Amino acid sequence: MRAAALGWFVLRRLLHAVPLLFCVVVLNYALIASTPGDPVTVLVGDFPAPAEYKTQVRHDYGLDQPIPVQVARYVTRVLHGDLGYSFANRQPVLSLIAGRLAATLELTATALGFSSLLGIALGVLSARRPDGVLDRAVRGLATAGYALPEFWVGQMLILVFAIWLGWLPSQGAHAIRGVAPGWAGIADGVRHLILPALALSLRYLALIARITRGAMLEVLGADFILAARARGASERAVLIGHALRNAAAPVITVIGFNLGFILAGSALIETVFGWPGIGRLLFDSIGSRDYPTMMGILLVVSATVVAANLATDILHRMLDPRVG
Amino acid sequence: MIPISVFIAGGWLTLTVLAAVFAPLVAMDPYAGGPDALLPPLSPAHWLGTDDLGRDIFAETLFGTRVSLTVGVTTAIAGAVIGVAVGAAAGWLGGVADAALMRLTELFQTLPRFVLALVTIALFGPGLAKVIVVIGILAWPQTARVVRASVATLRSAPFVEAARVGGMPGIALVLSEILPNVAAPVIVLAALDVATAILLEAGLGFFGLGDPNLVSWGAMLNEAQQYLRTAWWMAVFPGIAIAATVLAFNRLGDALNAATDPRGRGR
Repeated sequence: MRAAALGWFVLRRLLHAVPLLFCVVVLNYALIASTPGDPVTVLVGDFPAPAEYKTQVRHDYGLDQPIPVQVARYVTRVLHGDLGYSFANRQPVLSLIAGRLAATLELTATALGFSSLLGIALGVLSARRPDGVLDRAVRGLATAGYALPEFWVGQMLILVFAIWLGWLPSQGAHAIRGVAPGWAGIADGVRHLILPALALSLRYLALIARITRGAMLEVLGADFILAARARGASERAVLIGHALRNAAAPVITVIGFNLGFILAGSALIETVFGWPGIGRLLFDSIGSRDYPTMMGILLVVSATVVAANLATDILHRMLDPRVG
Repeated sequence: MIPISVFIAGGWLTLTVLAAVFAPLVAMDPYAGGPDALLPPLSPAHWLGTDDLGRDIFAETLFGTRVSLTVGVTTAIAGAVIGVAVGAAAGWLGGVADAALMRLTELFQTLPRFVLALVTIALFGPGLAKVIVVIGILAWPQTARVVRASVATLRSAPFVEAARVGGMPGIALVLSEILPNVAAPVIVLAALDVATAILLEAGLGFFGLGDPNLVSWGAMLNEAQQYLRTAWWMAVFPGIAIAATVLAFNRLGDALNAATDPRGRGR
């Protein structure tokens, strides 16, 4: 019964997400088509490309056909995984993005993992004693985390820890002389990861700590917590086993729904730290007017957000069956 | 009792508005370079130092308030207007219109705002008006949701029914009976949206997509990036300006929320 209900829920959310994804792709094409000038420039990029190539692209995307045909061709291509060709990089956009995926995943996953773990811990501990010292500190951190532009935090971290103290490197994902073999290479990678991951984390750390604190405070006032305490459960068991378990749903929802923001933040952070990921690729493609790459990245990021929201909804439903 | 931090936030915002209005009277020309490039702060003629072209950082930071406040306030108003219109229509009409408008809201909420704004401005070319349009168009979904929820509940409230029975037509009913009741959350969201828009604009400026003819804090940080090693002051002061202004709008939004929401719950 429960499994069947969950199955229906997943199906309903899928039926919801697929049209959303479709709209995102159509919107992407609307953006291309409404650009002032020749849309072929957007599909090729602003380069002195050979005339035959432009004619080919014009034909492939049906730019000489009515708009509905153009949209249909564009959507079909995208759904087949064809995000166009980057003339600037002499590479299909999809493989260009795929080549940068690992670096972005390394950075965003580290930041998300770090901010989730620390944020939940801080939220739980500060809910234990509202208005205590830690609680005030966490609230201050949350306020700052919302207000500081993350790329500026990155610049300040470089200033302090790379330039003034000289403790950590400021640019790239590994030393310029190349990746060293074995542990030395891993240690070098970690040293390069610390500052950008920290800069990217601050905002989510603030958000997750704040949401966890709020959810915990709500749960800690419930009768079953009182009951658990009356039964003599240890403080630790009450906080983690009873309260956090029941506060988990909103926390996970917030983490999932903010995945898109962490990707956007990553674009800025990668630019500040010369991190060789998708964000840096976006920055470079804007600089070189490599439109196909820009549009491809927009599509990939949008699709990731839709998928993350879907996954979050399903996870939320599994944690809290009351969600309809 | 109003907390002291709200006074500080209000004071800072008053200062930034004054700075935006009176910048030409207080500071020198932020666009005029000089022979004294990369002077450190507390130099006699340039008390926050100069940038790589010898421009006065104090003047640039002061003039930067103009872009940030203009973008922040206009896009928040645009977001509030669109959000109220969409939300009220969805909540009042219900049925198919409601479902369609909410799908649209969901689509806009799903779109990765910053990346979309970057790509759009890269395609259409930079400029203050374009930045405002793009950020404004992306700023409304949350307001729409809040307004829709309130309007849908109030639609059948006794005082609305009374006005309806009294013969008031639909639009007047929404405008005069229902919308005044959702003013408080809309204003709170608008204050918070100003902060978000300032951060977005700074990010665009940092990517080199701000208005090329205007000084902005984001663009200053973009230039500062190359000079982090030699001129820290190029990065420090505009960043503080952004952080303080965003903080002030957030604080004000939270305070308004606490003051207008009787249950005293955050959003």
